[in-house]
Amino acid sequence: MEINGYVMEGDFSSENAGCSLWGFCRKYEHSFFIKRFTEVTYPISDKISASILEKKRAKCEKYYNRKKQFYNLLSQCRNGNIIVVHDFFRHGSYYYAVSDRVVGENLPVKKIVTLSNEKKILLFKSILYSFAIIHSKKIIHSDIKPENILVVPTIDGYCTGKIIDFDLGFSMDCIPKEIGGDFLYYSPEIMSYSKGNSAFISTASDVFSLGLLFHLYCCGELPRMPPEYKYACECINDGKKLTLDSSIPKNIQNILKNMLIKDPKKRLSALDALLAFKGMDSDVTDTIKFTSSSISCDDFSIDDSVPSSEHEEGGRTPSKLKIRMKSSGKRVTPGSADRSADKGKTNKSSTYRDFHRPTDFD
Amino acid sequence: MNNHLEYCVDIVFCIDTTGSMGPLLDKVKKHALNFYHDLKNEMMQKGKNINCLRAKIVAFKDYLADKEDAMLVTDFYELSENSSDFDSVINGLYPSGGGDEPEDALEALAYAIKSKWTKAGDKRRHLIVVWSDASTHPLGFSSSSAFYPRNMVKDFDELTNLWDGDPEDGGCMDENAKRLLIFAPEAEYWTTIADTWDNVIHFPSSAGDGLDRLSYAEIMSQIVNSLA
Repeated sequence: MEINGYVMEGDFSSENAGCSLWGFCRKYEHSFFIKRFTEVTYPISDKISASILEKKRAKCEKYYNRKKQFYNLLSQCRNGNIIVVHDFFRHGSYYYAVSDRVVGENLPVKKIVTLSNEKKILLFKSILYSFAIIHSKKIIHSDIKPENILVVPTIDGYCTGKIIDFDLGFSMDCIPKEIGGDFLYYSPEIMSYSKGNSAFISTASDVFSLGLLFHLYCCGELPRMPPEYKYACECINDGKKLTLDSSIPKNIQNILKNMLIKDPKKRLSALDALLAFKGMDSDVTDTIKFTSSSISCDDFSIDDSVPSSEHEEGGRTPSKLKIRMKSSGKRVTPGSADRSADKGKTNKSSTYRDFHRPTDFD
Repeated sequence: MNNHLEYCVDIVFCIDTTGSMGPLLDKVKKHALNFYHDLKNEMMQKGKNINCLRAKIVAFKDYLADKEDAMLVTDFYELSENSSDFDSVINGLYPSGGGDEPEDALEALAYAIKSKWTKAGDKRRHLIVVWSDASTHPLGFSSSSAFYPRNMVKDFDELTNLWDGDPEDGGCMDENAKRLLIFAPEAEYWTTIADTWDNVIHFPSSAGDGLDRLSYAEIMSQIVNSLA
């Protein structure tokens, strides 16, 4: 099957794709990853009226423009490890996004856990470097989880993280009414937002998710929490603490703790976390004091003179590590999503046997 | 703030229960009692926890041929470790009748879409699963039947508005929660729905074989993929 010049290699699959379909394809003797979106379908049937056709096509145009704009922004982040969409188009009724195919072994978490600390730190740095670039464009990935960071061995025996699947991502200039993602990796503020509360949405929410992910990479588990909580964001929003695994070296724990701070404005940015891991290679300046194993944000010096943009243009020489006030986020309240606690009616009789034979349609 | 995140799922099974659908019905009946357990396990393996799961059945045939048995609809059942009620309902379905090849599936779909979907949860999925081995009559084809429901949507436009329309156009689905999986032949109106409506995946099957080649594992896999 050919789609806009791309020849499919095999069928589409819906595995781990929600309501999308994905597969591999070839063009110019190069193999690509292709995704078919079904969230919006361009109507081409003659079985619906012109007025409905017009409305749906107008919706499709908005969808196409929004996605195209986002992908154009994302394309500015190309660094080899950020797998951007380089072709987005409609073919027939469906919209497709094409990106590079990541080749090589994708290490599962149980193998990542067995890497040496040195290799893990390098992996963390590669991932944080990518996110520092992404966040510098005010893009939030919003769906960080093991499936969306492919850990690929490099030829020199180390590993690098390939960032994929920006389908739930958005620009901080256009925060959606509903933010997707995996509850397991939700930041406290995303959880708050999803419950209809005002929340400070920023790239810091990705950093929280990365903190959880790195903990998983270190020891194979997410941080422990009291048994009444299923998700880290619930625990933190309730004022309780996450417990990091004691097998994780203290210097890594300290960074993770600061990636997992509840207040997004006080949380490390991706760039600062990267610099903190880099600082393990050499003496860390006295701006960050790792005084104890339980770091609180009070231990950091807050440099209010630093510009409000998270990252300076043209990069910076990491001679000093400072914690910046996160002022580039937005406090937003979700749209008019229905948050009622109405739990839909169910049949009250526990011995219901009969079907209805409806004579009316209401 | 309620400090727990909840994921609530409603599933409506639109099942063609005409004579040829014996193979599929046998599979569904065999696994009905374990459906909740199987779905929960599969979702847990993907790291997803469903807090509340409800299921509903719309069993359809042909109004002209099958009269008062053409459309059987339940309310939502809350599924749990003990799903004996749901199991009983499924086991009460028998393949019979049907008349001509197309069936009144669009009316069934209308009933499915108009379900009282849950508004609970921080994340919701409202999933309709259609199982049929036949094409569909156009809406209203069987309206001469004494058992055809009053006030049924009149045409495909109205049905499309129910699924995809804004509330002011009669739309009644949560745009972010809705999913439609169609296991049916590449025939009308299934192909039009797949090419026109949002959030639809069509898994083409062979006409008339009762979805014999569709395994329970594949059904479960596709349901899980749409919920994960």
